[in-house]
Amino acid sequence: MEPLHSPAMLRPWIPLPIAALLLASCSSHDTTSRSGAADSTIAPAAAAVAADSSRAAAPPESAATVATDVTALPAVLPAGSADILAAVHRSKSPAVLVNVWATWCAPCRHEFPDLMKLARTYRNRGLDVILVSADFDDQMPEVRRFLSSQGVDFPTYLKNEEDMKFIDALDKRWTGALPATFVYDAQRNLRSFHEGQSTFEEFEQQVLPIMKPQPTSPKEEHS
Amino acid sequence: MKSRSSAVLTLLALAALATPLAARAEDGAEPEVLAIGAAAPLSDVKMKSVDGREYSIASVAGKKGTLVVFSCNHCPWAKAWETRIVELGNAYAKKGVGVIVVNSNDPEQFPEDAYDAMQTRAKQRGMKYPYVVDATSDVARAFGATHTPEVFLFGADKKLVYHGAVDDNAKDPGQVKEKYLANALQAVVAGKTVAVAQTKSMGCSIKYRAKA
Repeated sequence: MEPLHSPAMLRPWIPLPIAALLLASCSSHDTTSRSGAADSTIAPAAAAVAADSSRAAAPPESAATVATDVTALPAVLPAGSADILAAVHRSKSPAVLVNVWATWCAPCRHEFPDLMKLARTYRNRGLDVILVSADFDDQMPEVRRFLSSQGVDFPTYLKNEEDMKFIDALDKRWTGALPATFVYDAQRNLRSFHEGQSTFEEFEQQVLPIMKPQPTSPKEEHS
Repeated sequence: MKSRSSAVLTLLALAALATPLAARAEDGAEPEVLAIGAAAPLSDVKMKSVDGREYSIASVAGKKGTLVVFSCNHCPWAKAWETRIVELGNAYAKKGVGVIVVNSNDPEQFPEDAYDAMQTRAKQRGMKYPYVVDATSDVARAFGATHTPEVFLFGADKKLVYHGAVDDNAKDPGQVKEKYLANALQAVVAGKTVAVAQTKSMGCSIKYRAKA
């Protein structure tokens, strides 16, 4: 397993998302469906990856316009489980949500807009969202295009570790099915694990009990 | 009134106990997967195969063992392992292991998993074992299967001896270090204990049909 690039490389991305979120919230959205080419020949997975949503319903209409300039696409860093857990520990937010997804995973793509809505809604209220793609590394262009289409303009990760080690390191209850969501509290204890697609409300149910309570109004705060 | 409430509670308790060991809730809940040592649930349920006939897990059971693989047409990870599954399935079917590959996906969600497409795929790949439609997705539910491909290997005594991945590298057969399923099949045919009984891999979640 390749070690993650030094933490210094990742530090700039922590303050960036605030500006990125402002940009993302202003961007226009198109429904996009990214599909790899279907391959019916006997071929290794590298060539045979086809998004399994090619005939499924398109994701809800909240995706950003696809960026065509590759240099504008968000960085995706190879990472093993230790790197992801280190990123969790490095976060300064009271709650951290890790979501493992893949471009070929239809439920992952369907929940992504709600996941991004969650990230935008709660970024300044104590939630950090870490995204990990389980795509093969030669699918990186697809990964980055999809992330861009979803308004992700902060660095994310691509799993580069063998499945079982990665799965068990995050949670032994995880069977390996995607998507999978893990929520950590301020002490970085794993407080919630969910295997399968979630709605925005279901994501909220996973994170709100763990996040720091926010004052409801200045009057109440100072009463 | 009191006795009626007690009766209702008793019935509910009995119903809970009667639920298959590997009963699985719908997407969103943690699955209860079949445990090592358990028997195959719903083994008498007949499922239509690509050859037009119906097969159950019990009907294909071999003297040496039975291989049940939840797979499908559309999933890239299932496709990645497909050749290896076919090679192993075809080889071990001749060695006394019954083989059945089960597609539990809802073709309404994924037309690529429709019956005619399964027939085409079986022919393309040269499958020499049943590739069947789990018409209600209940067999997958009963097994606690969550994704494709997912392997369940039963021994001669019809107890689960191996559950999990085909091997440790979906992407590149040439880079496989651990041939989990091949090793398990070898052990089963030799009547030996499977050294690595449980493994995991990623895959596409099974697209369950709605419960009737």
